[in-house]
Amino acid sequence: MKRARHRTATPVPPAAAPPAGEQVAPARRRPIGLNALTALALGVGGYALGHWVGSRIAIGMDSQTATDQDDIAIFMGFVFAVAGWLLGLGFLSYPLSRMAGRPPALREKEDEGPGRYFRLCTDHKVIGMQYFVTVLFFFLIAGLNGMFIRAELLTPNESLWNAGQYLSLVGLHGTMMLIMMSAAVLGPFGNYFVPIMIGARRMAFPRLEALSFWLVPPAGLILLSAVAFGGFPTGWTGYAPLANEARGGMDAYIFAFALIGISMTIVGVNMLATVLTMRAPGLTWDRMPIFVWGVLCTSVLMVLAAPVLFSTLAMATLDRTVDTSFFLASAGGSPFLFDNLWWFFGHPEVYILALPGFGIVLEILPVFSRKPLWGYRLAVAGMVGVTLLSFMVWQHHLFVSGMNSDLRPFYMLTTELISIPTGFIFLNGMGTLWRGRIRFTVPMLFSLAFFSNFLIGGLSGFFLSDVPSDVTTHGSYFVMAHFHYTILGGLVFAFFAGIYYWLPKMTGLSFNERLAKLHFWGMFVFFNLTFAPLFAAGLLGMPRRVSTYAPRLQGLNDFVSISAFLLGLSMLVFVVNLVYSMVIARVPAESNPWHSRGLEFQVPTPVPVKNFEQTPLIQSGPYDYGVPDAPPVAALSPPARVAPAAGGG
Amino acid sequence: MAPDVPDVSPYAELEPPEILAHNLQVGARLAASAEAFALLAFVFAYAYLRTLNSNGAWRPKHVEPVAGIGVAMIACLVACGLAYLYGLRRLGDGTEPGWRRGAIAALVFGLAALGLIIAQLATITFGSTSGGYASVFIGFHALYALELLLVLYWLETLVAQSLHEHTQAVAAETAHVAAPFALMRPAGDALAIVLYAAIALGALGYVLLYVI
Repeated sequence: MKRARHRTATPVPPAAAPPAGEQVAPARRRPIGLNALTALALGVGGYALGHWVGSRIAIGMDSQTATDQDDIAIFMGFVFAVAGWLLGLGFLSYPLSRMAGRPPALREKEDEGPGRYFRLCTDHKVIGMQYFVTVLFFFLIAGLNGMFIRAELLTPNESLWNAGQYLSLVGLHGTMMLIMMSAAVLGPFGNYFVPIMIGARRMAFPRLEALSFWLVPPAGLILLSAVAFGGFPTGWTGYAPLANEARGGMDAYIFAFALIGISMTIVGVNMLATVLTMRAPGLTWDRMPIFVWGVLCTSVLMVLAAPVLFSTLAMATLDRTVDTSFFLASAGGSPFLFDNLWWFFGHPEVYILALPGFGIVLEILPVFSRKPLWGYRLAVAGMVGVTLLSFMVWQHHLFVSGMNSDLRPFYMLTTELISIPTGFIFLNGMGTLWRGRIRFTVPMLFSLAFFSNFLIGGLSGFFLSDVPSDVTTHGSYFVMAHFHYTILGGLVFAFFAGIYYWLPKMTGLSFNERLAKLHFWGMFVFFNLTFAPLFAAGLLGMPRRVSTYAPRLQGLNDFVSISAFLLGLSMLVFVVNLVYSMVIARVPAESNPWHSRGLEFQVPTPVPVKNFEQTPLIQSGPYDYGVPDAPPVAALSPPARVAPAAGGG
Repeated sequence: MAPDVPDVSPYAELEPPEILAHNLQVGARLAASAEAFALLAFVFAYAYLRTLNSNGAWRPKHVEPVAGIGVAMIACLVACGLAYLYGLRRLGDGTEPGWRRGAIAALVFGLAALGLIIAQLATITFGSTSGGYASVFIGFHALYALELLLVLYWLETLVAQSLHEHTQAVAAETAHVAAPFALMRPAGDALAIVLYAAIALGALGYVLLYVI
């Protein structure tokens, strides 16, 4: 592999020193403290103002006055709400000062204290923690929606919710899970650890990094507001023409997802630029942590797929507000246009979820097997292969949608091909475990469970990539079980592996191990008891997104629902452990509790604001466990000729 | 009241210039990719709906945009690109008058193109309900205007920065000399990537929507 540029010799001018003759300006006083509260206040005010402006614009527009729809007002409300939110955080002052010709600067303090978590801060570690709490919050809300769905399915007839409410619950659950879990790994762990893992002081574009996070809470809140507008009937895919006909809740779905699309694009650009340009000296491509490779591949997908999502949702917005006909066949459009564009984003999105998970588990396995990662280059090839192929499979979602039948074999083949690079990851995992000195810590247990769950998810995917069997199983609970095995069984298990592995480093506090193991076993057992029977339910003909089903399936569904509630209970154990360990017990964690070679564990806990006193000099790969005479992964105080901490590859 | 915030020198806390320059270059290429994929969704919509011609309503006979505005728009975009090229070739440390002239002209032409897009949307004789072509026409122009606005914003910040540095340099006779903005050259180069990508995409849109 090509070696990274080795930055040497020339001493870099001290970053913190002003140029000669430049005087340091005196302290400024901010007129008001801008934080999440001011953001919320201005966001709510912005919505009211935008709604009023939108309703004035809509006057005289036939499409808006002929019905009781007020989509323009709702969209304008959301636009103004987000503008107010960002204004309330202080995001707009910098762009305005740049317009006035002031030079670029990082004015946000990278300081201490809990207040920094509630305001605009450009410290990547603070942003990682902000992401962690936000993602967890929305993950639990989405999980609660899942419980509501299973409660309805305790009986074969409508009981708790009517059909429309049930569909909205399904849509909220799916959309929130998808958009929040897109950020689940890259948000907390990517932002927090990628700069440290590559020996950099910060991300390439810290202000954009902060912006990418601060778009997530309004997206989540706007999506939740769909309930107030009557929900949306389309599920997470937002298919037209149903979306064109839906009520105001659909606007919330479209706007929230578009915001996430913007955030994902920014994250992708930022992560890619960081990894490409800010690697420490000696961090060649073949020494890069496998987690960083996972982030890199995911970022490629985000940069190329998320803009298409944004454009697709822009088309949907225009259809709903100014009566264009992108997705209306009767007026020269086509709903299949939406399907194609949507899945051009949607299928890479699946790998946006999976690839960081691959990275986490392959990062963890060598640590707890005390062996080098088996087939490092194979793992990289697998991730790159998945990245490339993921753009060539999207039409398998349309096998039964009336697509040109001549296209089916191609997409069947590409979909089946993608199992090969995915299989590489399994080979890496199993090869690493082989004859290792395995320690069954909680992160390791979650990583092992990832493999067993994802195996079932992957193998069941074969039935869906194959046209004849897909025709039978499409739209059934078989599909539902499949993607829950890949996303919940895969990504979410990897997410929890990451939490137990890295959160002690992030917080400096240890988890209660007994509660953590209780969480793992509860989650593992009840996850499988919840979703394995749903393969059978699907094969027995139970359709997705319908709150009623054949009475003969009630026993199976009751079993699944009770398992799901117990799965939810296991999440409660996690929350209890989190609160107990981080707030009540507060047992300090060692700086390197797992005896990892990872660079992130070589820095002190808590990680200093600037990460490193000097730019580290990377001396060897991060997985040389059990290798005799392996040098330390990095020299943290390299000779004077190496540049100071500022990153760079 | 919030606590005092120490105001650091504008040049403090940033990465070394060569790293920032590299970041800008890579970031601009990635931003141009994202920009292209966003607009290519509309190009796909154009090809898909035109081929499908659902209900025979792809492009009813009366759907005809004002060709003159389209020509003027593309001319402004080309002029914007040429003016920027002129400025870029004279960009040294960001204080050169030749650079400022080129950049300001590019900004003016870019804003004129933006204005023409808005004028086109405001004066079209067909409505949004007039079939697939009308939808793509309106959608492409709206998103393109947004992207162009973002690119022009970046250009404006560089022009403003250059003027700021120029003012500082003039004042230097009586006051201390501020160091020239070390990133003007790489920022100008990086902007060129997204600007020319935007112009190319605008030209593609013009060919699809006005010529074919």
